[in-house]
Amino acid sequence: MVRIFFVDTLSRVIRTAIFVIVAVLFVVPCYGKGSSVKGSSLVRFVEKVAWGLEERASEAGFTGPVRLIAKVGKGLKPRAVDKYFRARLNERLNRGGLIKPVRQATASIRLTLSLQRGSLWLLGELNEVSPGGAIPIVVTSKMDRELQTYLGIPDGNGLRRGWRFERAGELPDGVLDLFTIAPGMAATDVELITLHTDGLRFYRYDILEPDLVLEGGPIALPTKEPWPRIQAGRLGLVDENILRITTNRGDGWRYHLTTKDFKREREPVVTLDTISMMTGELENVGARFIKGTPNLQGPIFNKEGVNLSVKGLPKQFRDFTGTRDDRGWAWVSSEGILQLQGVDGKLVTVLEKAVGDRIRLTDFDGDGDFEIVTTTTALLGELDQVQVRRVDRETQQWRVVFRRSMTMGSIASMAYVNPSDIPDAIFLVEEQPGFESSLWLLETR
Amino acid sequence: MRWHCLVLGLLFVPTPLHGRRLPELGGDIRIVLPEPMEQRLKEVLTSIPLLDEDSDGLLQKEQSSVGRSVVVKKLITRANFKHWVVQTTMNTKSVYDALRECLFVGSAVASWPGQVLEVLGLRPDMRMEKLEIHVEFKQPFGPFPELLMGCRLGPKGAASGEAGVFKEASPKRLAKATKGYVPSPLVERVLFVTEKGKADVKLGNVRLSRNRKALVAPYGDSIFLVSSGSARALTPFRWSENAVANLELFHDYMAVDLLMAVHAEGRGFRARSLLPMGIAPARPLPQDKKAGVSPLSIRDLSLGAPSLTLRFQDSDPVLTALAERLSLVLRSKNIVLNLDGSTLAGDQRADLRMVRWRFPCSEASLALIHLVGYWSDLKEVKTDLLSDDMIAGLLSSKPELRLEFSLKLERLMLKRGLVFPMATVERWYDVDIALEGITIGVDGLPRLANAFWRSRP
Repeated sequence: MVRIFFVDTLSRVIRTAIFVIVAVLFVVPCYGKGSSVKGSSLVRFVEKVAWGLEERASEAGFTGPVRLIAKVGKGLKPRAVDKYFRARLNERLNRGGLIKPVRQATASIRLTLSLQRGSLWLLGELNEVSPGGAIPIVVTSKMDRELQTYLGIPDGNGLRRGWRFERAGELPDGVLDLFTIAPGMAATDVELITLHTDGLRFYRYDILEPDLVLEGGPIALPTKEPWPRIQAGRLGLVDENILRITTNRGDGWRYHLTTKDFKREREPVVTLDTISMMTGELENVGARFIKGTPNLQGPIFNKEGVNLSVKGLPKQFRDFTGTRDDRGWAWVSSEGILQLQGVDGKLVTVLEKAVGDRIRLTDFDGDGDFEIVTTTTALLGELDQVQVRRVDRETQQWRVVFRRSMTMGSIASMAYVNPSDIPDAIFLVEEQPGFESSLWLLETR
Repeated sequence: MRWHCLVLGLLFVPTPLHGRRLPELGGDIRIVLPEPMEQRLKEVLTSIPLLDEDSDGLLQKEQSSVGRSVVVKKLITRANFKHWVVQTTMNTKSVYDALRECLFVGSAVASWPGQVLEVLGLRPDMRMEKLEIHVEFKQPFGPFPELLMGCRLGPKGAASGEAGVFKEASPKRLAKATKGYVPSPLVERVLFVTEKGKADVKLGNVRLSRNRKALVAPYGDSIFLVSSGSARALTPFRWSENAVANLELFHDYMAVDLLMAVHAEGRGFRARSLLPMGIAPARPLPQDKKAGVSPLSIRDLSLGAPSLTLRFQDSDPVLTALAERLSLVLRSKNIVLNLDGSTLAGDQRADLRMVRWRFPCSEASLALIHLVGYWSDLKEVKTDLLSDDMIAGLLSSKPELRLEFSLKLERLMLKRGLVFPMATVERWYDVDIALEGITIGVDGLPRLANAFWRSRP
């Protein structure tokens, strides 16, 4: 009897535990640190529409074939809506099984997509599915970069905006690199990690009410040897909770953000960001430091360790980035020459004049073309300058769209502000040896 | 010497052709508007001294508007959207008083937010705590920020002009213009004139020239019929039998005239729905008709033919044209339509009304609730229209759900034959091309607070 009771209780506990684990697995990735909240907003929108249609059909007791008619209102490209939205919705509804889109049917679903007040709206009705008459459906989504790129008409819809460059806070002297983590979908603050010559610091930056707050550090790096004369260091995220720190002395550590443990890496890898212009996801690629210098060396390899075989990449370079979808890469050579390699493998030297060590690439204004942020090669004591160039995808032509001189020193590092979405802002650190460093925010508005 | 003079002369001749009227620093804007609109515009003008050419002297003298701030600093919602907290940048007491006046019907100011709450039978609890204003409803009220947009919360007199509490109040463009190397001529006075030819801003429906530009309001005016119970009982208004098909048929009879009427207005199109584009996003058009309508036949009216009275504002040419055509259509259906072109009032009895309606806000749910409460024929059936489920949907915190329920409410009103949508007419302005910074508000009135003349058009 006791044994039966024990087994029964145990099975209940196990069932409850499984339920809790499954629930946690569902919830944690959505709000967890390190932004697993990635994925396509177009796919999410299609899913929302399909779910809404199925719910309404189900409430009306309807199941079966329907004629799906999708029309386009203002601000959207008709062919793109047909190709990217309607085709996916057809496929999704077929998969769902409740509503089967066909060419001819008595029942019909009539949908109109349009852009209004910065949002994508779908208004529609299900006809002949219920004796009570047409059933309306409304679905909306914020018109983000991805939806704009897929469905929107480039330019002319108010998404290309002006630039804002302002001081975001003060940091101690000796910043080598900085890295940001977006805490989750709902949060408005960014976690900012800085690598200094004396260790790591952790900050929080509130985007809505701009405020930089020191939350932890300095945490000294576990090294006893002195730094070389040329100091360079890089931060990158290996996993949701694991930060990678690499220095040009040949050090490499993995720092666990939760347990606060350092683990030495035998073959230190420098993590560099590439970005998807369609989904906004960042993906790390790897390179290595040339010991004792600020230069990096190839090959460039992805997370799985596969060589990306970047044609034309010089033996030594200072920074590397790119757009994964287009297989378009950009780098700064060890001589400071900014080069782009397009889809066709053609190499373009953007500037004959040397640029600074760090570059960042993103679609700031959501027009589908990307912008490249560079600095200048300022000597000690000279003022640096931030420059943004817009690069046309097809022609590979570029032009300067923003230029601003710094107030104090030179730019030491840059980081995307919102790594879980296509970033529309970056942080820059202005460094003047012996003085406090300044954190700057560059964004479109 | 003569040759030189000729060349110089030729050089100077084209200049006046391209020249534009550029006022000196402190130029005037001349406006001509229909009288009711002019009165309302006088209410919303603030930062610029206002003159009426026909009256003597200054109507309203304002101080500089530079430095005015946005009224609401922060809006916080609690208790599942039942409790709203308003934090203001201005004197909390004065904002509290203004909000109270706005939200409660019976106070001195008849505002649409107050009317909306009255239709819904809601009377929120309001209190002031330190620097916060607390507004508590008995049920969730999702579109409270949109409701607040309709309240003028600034101090009385000097800065009461800008409708909409979130609107940027400081004249940035004006400031920017003055920072230029050559300052742009600023607007010093606003003059109301009667002669259209002299006006820098005038309501549309005249042809634009090369030196004019059109500014269009965020959404159009809706023209529709409001029918009473007696009208609904008559053919072809017997909607209950086959409401939508009947409506479609009737629309087709009016189609050509609707097109003609909106063409006369300049911009617009015939509409089969109440909510215009700009309030409701683009939606599916009705399915194509398979057969056309039979031509109208004029015949003698039978003895004892039913008679209806149509009220409309005959100062509006579009309404007059449509009313005449409607009379003809109904006559062919053996109904006598007596046209009454007197001014309309919401509570006046009439069999039919033809209304040119401007929804007070771009939030569909609040706009429709306001409409239901405005006309006596709709108010009579408001309990049928606004069921508890419907109200919960219309006041949802989710914009898409609010819009979906608004479409349901609109459809219900159409189905019951309470309203009959006819056309949407854009409200647009003909503005001098050198005049910059003018915007058109949701109320359809021009905003002049940030206006300036361009130095080199």
